[in-house]
Amino acid sequence: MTAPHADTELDGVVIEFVDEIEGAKMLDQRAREWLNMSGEEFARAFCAGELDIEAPHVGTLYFLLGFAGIECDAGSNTHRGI
Amino acid sequence: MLGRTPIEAYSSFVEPIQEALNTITVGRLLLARESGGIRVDSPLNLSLNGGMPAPLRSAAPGSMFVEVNLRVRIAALDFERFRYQCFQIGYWYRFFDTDLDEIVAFHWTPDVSSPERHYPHLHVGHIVVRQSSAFQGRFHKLHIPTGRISAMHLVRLAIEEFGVNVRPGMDRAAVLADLNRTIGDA
Repeated sequence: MTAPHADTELDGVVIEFVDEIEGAKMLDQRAREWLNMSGEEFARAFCAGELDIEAPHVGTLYFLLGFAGIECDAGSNTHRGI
Repeated sequence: MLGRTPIEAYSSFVEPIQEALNTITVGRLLLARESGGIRVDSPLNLSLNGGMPAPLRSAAPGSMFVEVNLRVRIAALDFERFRYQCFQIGYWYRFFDTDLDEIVAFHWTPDVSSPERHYPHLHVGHIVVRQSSAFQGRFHKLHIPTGRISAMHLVRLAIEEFGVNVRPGMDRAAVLADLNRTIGDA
């Protein structure tokens, strides 16, 4: 994990809404940086049970799936919008 | 948290979390925007900084970080006044030291079909227990059962036990008293 930097624009915690396109980009960026795979590849592998949630970064990425509109459903990943 | 509408229930759940985190850190609390509005009985995700650890307000800047991710659900109720309730259905909370080594992690992922324990538990970080001879270097992998942890528990832990400073201008004792009232266990 790269060292986070303090967001100097902010003075506190602000709420921001993220749509599914932005969420998919965020998932993809983090998955590539942390696990060297795309967001889609992560979703497929995680939902298929191929990744241990307690392996480094996997749990965090699992919690980003929902931002991309993805839920694991019976061993596969489904898009909530479909 | 209760509300007359799904969005009111959602807001009444999220706002105290924002307020609590605001006392100890800075960052962006990301909420998934649902196409078609907030859905009832569908998981909703919240994440501080999209999973990137956020710096805590400590005496030494950048000396500790926190990661906050949770999933919530809004359910319809039969009550006349409050027709919706928003509640936590999973979380992934972690504290890190200045080198981003995990100090303690709180996990609850009941929706995940994997060998992961489905009950709420914590892990003590490898960096904390590495000198212990207990469990031959495996102690950090043990799943230590807990009750369900809220973001308010995390903030209280940070202030009361880890010595994290509260936001300038805030009174530490008053913040802790508010947290105790909200959590309701003190």
